[in-house]
Amino acid sequence: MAKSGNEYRLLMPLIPALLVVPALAIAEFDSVDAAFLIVLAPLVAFPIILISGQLKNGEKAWKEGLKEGGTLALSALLVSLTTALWIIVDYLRGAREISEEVGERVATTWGDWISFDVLLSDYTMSSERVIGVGVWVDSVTLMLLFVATFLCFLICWFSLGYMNTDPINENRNHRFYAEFVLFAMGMFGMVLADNFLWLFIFWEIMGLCSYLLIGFYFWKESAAYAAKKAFLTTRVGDVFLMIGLLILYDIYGSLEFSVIFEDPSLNGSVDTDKLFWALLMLFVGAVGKSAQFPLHVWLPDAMEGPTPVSALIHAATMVNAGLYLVARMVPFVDVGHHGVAGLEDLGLIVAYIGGITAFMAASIAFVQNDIKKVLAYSTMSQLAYIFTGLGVSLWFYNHGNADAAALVFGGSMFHLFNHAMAKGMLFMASGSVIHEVHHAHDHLHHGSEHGHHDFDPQDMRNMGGLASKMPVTSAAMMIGSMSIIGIPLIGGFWSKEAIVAKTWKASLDYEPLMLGPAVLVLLTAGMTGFYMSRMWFMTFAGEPKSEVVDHVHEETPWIKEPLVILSVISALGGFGLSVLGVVKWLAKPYKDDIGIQKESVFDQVIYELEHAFLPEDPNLRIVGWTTIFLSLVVGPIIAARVHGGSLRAGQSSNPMVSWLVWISGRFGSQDMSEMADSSLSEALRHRLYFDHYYEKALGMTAIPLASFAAWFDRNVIDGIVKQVESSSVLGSVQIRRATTGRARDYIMMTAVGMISIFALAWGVSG
Amino acid sequence: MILTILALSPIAVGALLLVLPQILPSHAGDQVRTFSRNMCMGVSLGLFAISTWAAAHSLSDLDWMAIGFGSYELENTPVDLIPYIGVSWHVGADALSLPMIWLTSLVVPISMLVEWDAKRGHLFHPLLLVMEGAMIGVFVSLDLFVFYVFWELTLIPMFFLILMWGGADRRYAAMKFFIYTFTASVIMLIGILVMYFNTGTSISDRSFDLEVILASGSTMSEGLRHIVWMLLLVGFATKMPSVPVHTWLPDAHVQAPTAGSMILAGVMLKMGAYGFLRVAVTAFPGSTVVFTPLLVALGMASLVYGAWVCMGQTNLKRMVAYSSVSHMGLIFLGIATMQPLGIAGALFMMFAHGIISPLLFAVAGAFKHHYHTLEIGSMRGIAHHSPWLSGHMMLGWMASLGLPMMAGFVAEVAVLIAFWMTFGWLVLLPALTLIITAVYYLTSMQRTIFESNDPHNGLLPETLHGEPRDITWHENAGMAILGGLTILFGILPFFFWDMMSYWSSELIDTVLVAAMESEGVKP
Amino acid sequence: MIDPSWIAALGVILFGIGLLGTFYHKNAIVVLMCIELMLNAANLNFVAAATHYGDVNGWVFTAIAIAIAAAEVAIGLAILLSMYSTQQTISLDAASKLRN
Repeated sequence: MAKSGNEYRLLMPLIPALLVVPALAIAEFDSVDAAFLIVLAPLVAFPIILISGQLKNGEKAWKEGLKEGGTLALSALLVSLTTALWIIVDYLRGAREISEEVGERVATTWGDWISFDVLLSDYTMSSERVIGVGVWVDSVTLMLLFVATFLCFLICWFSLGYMNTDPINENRNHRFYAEFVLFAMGMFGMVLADNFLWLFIFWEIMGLCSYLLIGFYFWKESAAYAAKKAFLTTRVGDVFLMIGLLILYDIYGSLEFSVIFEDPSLNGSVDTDKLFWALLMLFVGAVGKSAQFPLHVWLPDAMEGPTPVSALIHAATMVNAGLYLVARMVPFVDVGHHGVAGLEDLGLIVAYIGGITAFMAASIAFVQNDIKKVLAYSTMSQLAYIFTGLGVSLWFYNHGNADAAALVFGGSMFHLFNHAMAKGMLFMASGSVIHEVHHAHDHLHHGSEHGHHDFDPQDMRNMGGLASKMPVTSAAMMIGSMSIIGIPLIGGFWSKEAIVAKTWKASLDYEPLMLGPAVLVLLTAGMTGFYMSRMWFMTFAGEPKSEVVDHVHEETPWIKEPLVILSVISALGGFGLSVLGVVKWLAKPYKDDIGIQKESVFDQVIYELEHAFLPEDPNLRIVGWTTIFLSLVVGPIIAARVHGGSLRAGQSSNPMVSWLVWISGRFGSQDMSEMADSSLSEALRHRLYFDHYYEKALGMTAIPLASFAAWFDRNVIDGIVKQVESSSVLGSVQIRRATTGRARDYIMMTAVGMISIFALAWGVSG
Repeated sequence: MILTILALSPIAVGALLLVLPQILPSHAGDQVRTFSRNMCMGVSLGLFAISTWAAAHSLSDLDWMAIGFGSYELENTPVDLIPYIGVSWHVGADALSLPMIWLTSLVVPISMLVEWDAKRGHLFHPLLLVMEGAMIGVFVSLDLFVFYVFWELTLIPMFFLILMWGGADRRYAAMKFFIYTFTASVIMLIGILVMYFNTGTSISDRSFDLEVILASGSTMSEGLRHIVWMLLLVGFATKMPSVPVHTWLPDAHVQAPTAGSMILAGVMLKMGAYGFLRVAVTAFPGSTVVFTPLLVALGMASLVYGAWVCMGQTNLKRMVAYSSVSHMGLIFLGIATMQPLGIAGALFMMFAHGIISPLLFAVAGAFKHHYHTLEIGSMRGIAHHSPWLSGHMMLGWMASLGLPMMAGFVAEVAVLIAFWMTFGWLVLLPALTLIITAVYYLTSMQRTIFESNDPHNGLLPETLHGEPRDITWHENAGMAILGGLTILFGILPFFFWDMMSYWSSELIDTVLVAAMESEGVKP
Repeated sequence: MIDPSWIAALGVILFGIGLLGTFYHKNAIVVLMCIELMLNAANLNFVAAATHYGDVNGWVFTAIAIAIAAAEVAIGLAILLSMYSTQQTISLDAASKLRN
């Protein structure tokens, strides 16, 4: 549309932001030392946007020139992005000699934060202990840093279109952008932190921003409730994480990665049980943040926030923090490199939690009709995949099989990357759908209040047949879904395959107990195929299910560019990066020389394909093809039978999407309404009653206890005080009777008193 | 000399401003009244400048981390006040008292600012000024007689603040506040007198001087030491306040005017912890070590029970008051760890809570002022009509529940690390309390900031006519300063952390280690 | 020379009369006179003791006591006058306003 040409002039503030990194490079800054900019830029932008927004609210220049702070946020995030890219490029070029180097890591400590002494058990003081501030850069850091900075930038870009064109957000967007950049600061800081305490600090900052952004529509009771629920549930995990930090500090006398990872076994003298508990506590924290069973209840409700927030925080970045923390546990268990033996149980627990969550979330996703809720459960399920992979990796590391461990570790981290890209994009695409449907509905019912409140633009039962109206969005969503499902050769396939295969390998060759997660992740692969296809078909294929669909146009500026960019990355990134050896690169910090780096790119391609489709182990070959069969054939075809259907005659979209829609109509149709009425799907609709029972349990314990405590304080503890007071008042009333007010009585009393004193004195002296 | 000015000039100026208008001819008296508010602000800002000068090493060349334990910077040569019983004017500051002095000189001008347009301001602001002098006097005096005089002197302005500017039930609250804390401090006085009588055999030998009186602990029998320690504990724990002697606090807070609450929570509560460390711990390290389980029990009771009581409150200000009780529990826990980190954490808690709780009470006061109610749930959706107020509320509440990058977190994490080192899994109790803290803070926010954007949907009280307005500029400025400092000290805690850490190490090293060894307590 | 113990005895008797007088009289002026009587009993004892020990301090003390007593009576009478003007009585039973 014509206006969008003018819109992009607003990107002028980005130009100085682009110049920051070249300026620093010319000034001969080290890229690692410039890392503070990644955190500082959004931190500075936060108060500027918030306060100027508060003061300039409603002014035209602020609203249209600066997009209520949006372009300021975008500039700050651009500074972060370019600095991050600079570091990545420097790292890949091998220019690390500039900093203190520990293997493949670059660690820089900038200064002390707090310092103190510790009284040792022989009653002497330790030398001064310090908790410092610095950065820690290795391949895992860099991958997450890229994901975070890149997605923050793109999603902020998307928000310029999504948030600023919705009249309900008018004059409130500065709050959105301020909290957005504060969140970005938290995420970047957490990824870069060089010790567990700072990791925790930024971790909590993210939690705060998640809370604020979920509650962005503060006047909605559901949003207020969801925000509180999200904060409290993650807070439960955070407290355990903090306890884990306390134990770690007690064991190592430090929380710095560089100190702890140097020799986690303390020359074999470490108390294994204590360390096990420390790591388990850290894992509980990760479970809370990454919405895993049993602390998963907050994530679906978190979809109350604006869609860009769901895309960024609750799909692509913050929920990965838990995974990042678990990935940082590897040195503790890596028996080949001073790790502590006997921690296999930890790997099992992580894998089981992952398996259970993956299966449970996927099954709940079957019955969701809200497009964002489907994606939320999908996020839970995919994160659980990564947890399973990391659990298997921890187990292998602890078992001494470093090669297998490194491969599944790299695979898990790679899945994190693929999932973040695809899911961030899927959420933005769903945002695009919701936004346009909402606009179309407003357009249709312009001026009439009727039907405004019972229409839900997020409900997929109001959509259908959108493929012809939204070609870009439908294609993007198709590619994203394919990446999540694991359609061969696309995005997530490469990483998911590695996780499933290695989990089976662990269960078949080593540890029978791994069979549980192995079966669960295999089943989940098929279920993913079903619910993702279902979502796509319900939204884009078939006949329109409401009149609103006919009025939908894909026309809001700022929305399409991120979708296109991320589609390309999702489609090609998986294969491309696999060929470039990203799995091994990601496992590098913990294992130097693994696998075989082929001579030419072509050999590498052949190797990767062979590795994926025809592994040497016959069992894994069966597992691999079962996964492909379930996710490519079974799930999508069932979904097509239930929800698929051709477009209305005469309407078409771009060729690929049209073909997919057409083929979805070729499988016939099946009526599932009988199953939909069963008690199982009823239970799934109620999210397996977790929320219900949690609330009931809290309602029956915490609230009465609190009321009792308040009653007890007022009536018993303060009651005793009041009793003392009232009895002393009674006593004084008695005494007051003696004061008659008649002078004679007073004189009498004086005389008696005097005489007694004399008598006393006489008696004492005599 | 500087400390003398800090302690006495606000009292002198404040008293003058209170008395002068009464005795001057009426037109001159009126002029004094008009300028009284500005003069109070000027004096307190001057004091703030002085104490900042003293605190900033780079400005003043005072090195708070080079003086040994038991010696002081800015110390004067003692001037005899009542030589007959050994009372002298002896002031000095060290790393324990300096942050408290700075805090006092910060909180008082801000509370003046927040209540800049208080009714009967010609009495209100001078009373705050007298309050400031008395509190600084407590922190600087190195003579226990003078210490006690200042300690009691703080009660008088606060009593009148509650009585004259308080809420509906102010008479009861003021009386309860006065009698409760006065009784406790008389018990403490008995302890001090027993120490005094043990400083020498005849009246000419005895002295109230801190150094002398602290040394008297070693001349007592063990039983007497324990008894005196207990007497002191009662006095200090009531002031802090610790469960079960805390019930004066909520009543006083709910009725007190905003500035009174801010000073009460911000500084007065810290006098208890300060006195405990300065007198009880330093003079009777043996008893402190022996009674560590008692300290843990008291701290734990305050922390956990206080948090549960908070959750059961329906009145915003009452909830905030109980949260002070809960947070003060951490101070006892920190001291009980007998680790420098724990004690430094307790000290930083005193400081951090001294910044955060005035913010909380300023917010609660603004509610009372603009919405005429403090019942949680009777005003909703204030984010819509009072964005500044809800921003400050969000910041204060988050700081108080221990969010990182705010001052309270540093203290909390330090205490908890030390607590784990000493007591192991017992740390679960305080750590899980953090969740309860989050529950009551978040619930109160959910039901005030969120859930509505219509000022006329019946949730707001009837007394409110028309659109509610946002806070005034001076309330806003006061809260913004406190909020900014909360974040500043959360990100850069080392301004005061370093000296607190140093002082705690010195305390352990010179006083407590010997006692622990002789009692056979392992660190 | 009279034995000082006799004088002391006289002082005790005077004091007793004064004391009983304050107990049993309602009239404020009489009570005032009785108080004077007690004061003078004390003065008498001072004088007797001073004479006995040959110490001038007792006489000086008496002189001061008499001066103060005079002032006190003046104040007392003034109070009674104002009491009479407000209450039309100088009965001590009526002067119980301090209570409540």
